[in-house]
Amino acid sequence: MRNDSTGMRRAMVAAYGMLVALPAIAAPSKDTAGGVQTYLARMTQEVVTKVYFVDAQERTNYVTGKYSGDVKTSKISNIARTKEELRQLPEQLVDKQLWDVRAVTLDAIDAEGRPNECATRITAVTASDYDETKSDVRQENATFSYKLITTSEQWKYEPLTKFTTPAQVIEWRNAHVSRSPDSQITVTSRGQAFPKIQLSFAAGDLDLADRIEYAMKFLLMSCSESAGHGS
Amino acid sequence: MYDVNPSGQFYLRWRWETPGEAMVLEWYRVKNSDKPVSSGTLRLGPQPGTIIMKGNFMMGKEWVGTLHDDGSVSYVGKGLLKMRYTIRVDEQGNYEETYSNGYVVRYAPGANSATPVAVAQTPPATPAPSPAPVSAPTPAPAAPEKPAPVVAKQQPVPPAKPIKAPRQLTEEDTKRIWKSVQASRVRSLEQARQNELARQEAAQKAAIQAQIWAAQQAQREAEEAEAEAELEAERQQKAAAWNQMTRANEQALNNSLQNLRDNTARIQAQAQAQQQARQSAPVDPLGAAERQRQVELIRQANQRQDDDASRYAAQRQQSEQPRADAPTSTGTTTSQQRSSDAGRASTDTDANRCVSSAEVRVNDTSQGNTAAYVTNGCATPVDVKVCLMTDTKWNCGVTWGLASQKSWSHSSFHATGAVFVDAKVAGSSRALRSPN
Repeated sequence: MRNDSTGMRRAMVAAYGMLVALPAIAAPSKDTAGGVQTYLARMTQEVVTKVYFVDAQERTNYVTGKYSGDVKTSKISNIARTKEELRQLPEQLVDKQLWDVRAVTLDAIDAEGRPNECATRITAVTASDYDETKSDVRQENATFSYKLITTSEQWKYEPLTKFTTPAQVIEWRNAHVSRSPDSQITVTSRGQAFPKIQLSFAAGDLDLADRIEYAMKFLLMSCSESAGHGS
Repeated sequence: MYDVNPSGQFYLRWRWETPGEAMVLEWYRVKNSDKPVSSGTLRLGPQPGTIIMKGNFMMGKEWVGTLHDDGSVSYVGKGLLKMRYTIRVDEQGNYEETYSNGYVVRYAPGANSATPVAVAQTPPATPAPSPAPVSAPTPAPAAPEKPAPVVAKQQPVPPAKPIKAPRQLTEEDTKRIWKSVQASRVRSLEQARQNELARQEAAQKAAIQAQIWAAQQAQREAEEAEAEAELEAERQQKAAAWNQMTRANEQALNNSLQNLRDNTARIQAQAQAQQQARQSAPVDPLGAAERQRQVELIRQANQRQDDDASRYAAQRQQSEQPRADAPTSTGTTTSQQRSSDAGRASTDTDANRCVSSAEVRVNDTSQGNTAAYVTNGCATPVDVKVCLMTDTKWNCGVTWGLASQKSWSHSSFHATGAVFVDAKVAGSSRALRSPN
């Protein structure tokens, strides 16, 4: 009886120590894949979560667009009526890579649209406005007149829906987790429309980075085809 | 299938390019059906229920088609131009294209089709342009269509993989994950430490390099300052030496001129005394001897004058040379130019410097005749005027173009001993001076 009581106390102490030590207790709500998915989705609202969609040409968040513009010339004279002329600038194809696209919504949904705890769909992304406009006014003086030349230019690119239509999905069964010296935790997976997609949490804090890394590796191990895989 | 539109000029044909993989949709002109005017290749998309249509027009533009439950396929163009349209096979078996502006095109099965049907066109909600894209050759450049149901039947979408639930991890598994996280944390911290060390090392190297550069720069500046000081000291030393020599030369010149004036005055006084003596005693047996003695005195005086002048000229040349060689702010080139010009300038400006003083010879050619000899010591020919003072006036003679190192004389009777010489470079515009 006494021995049983001592053993019980030891077991409770060990269990309590485990509770304190394991970050899984302090991070995701439960040690389940679903809980971890929820935790990661919530993290997008708390830390900077960037996404990188890398195409076959190794271009990251690559968007194409169109350059257009016009030049308006107003000739203003003291002795004649004002003349205006509008000239369109030739359109050109333009492109660029976006370096700050952030995930705002993550869902545990697979590429077929079904709820799946081993998949994380990047449902919605955001970025600051990357279309560009430029306007320039210059004046040319003549003897009895002057010209006001206004040049307006626009660079308009594809919308971000390029990366979410269809939405790209991280398959945790075939993903890789890495951690950078500045505590960024990144999962890399093969996308559906892109050969490579990356989801990167900038934890900025060692303990938070631990919890996020733990969550990701929890999913890796839970969803791995072979048991025991997890690091 | 033929376009049932009365104005329609095209018909469609499908064929397999690669059976089971790629189907080609071709637009043919009815009146010229030798070859298609446009075509598009249909392939299954990366996701179930999707089709990719790639046209040979609009630079290979692609449309993504999505199969709907009613059998229709809606196409959305990739890129900026969406150019949406939907295709379906209607209840009569016609192939129907509906564009986003409401325009509808129907194709009925042709004569060689299994079930030819003629259908009327549905008028568009609003007057719409031809479904063909503006830039396309003719028919329906923007009208990529595909018999979706047919393709769907021929290429059934593979069934989706069953969802595999995640494995429930054991406590041992979570421990392993936690150990892995800790190891990863240690690695990242170590990597951060290494990065910081590398950064500090690079910064330190940069600082050391900056110090080396600063020290080298300071040393260069010190050396330059020292060299500048030495140069300035040397310049001042040379200037002082030159000034000292100039003063000495000026003093020597003044002394020589004073001697010359003294000699001239004495000679003139003697000549005047002789003149008075001749007038008072026309026949003086001692006169000839006295004149001989006086002439000798004159000759000695001239010799001293020549010696003084030669010495002075040598000194002056020596004193001018350092000045020409002394560094100046205008640089060596100017100094060298001045130095090389010095000899020619002295000759040009005053040929008297290089023409010898007159050597007076009494009874040179005949009794009572006095001659004055001069020699051109210049490198260039000179014009020389020699004047001998007689009892009543100056008797002058001139020679032109006396060659270098050549002598010439002018003589006169009743000379009293006073001699005037002036010379100039031959061809010079300056006029020869006269004693008066």
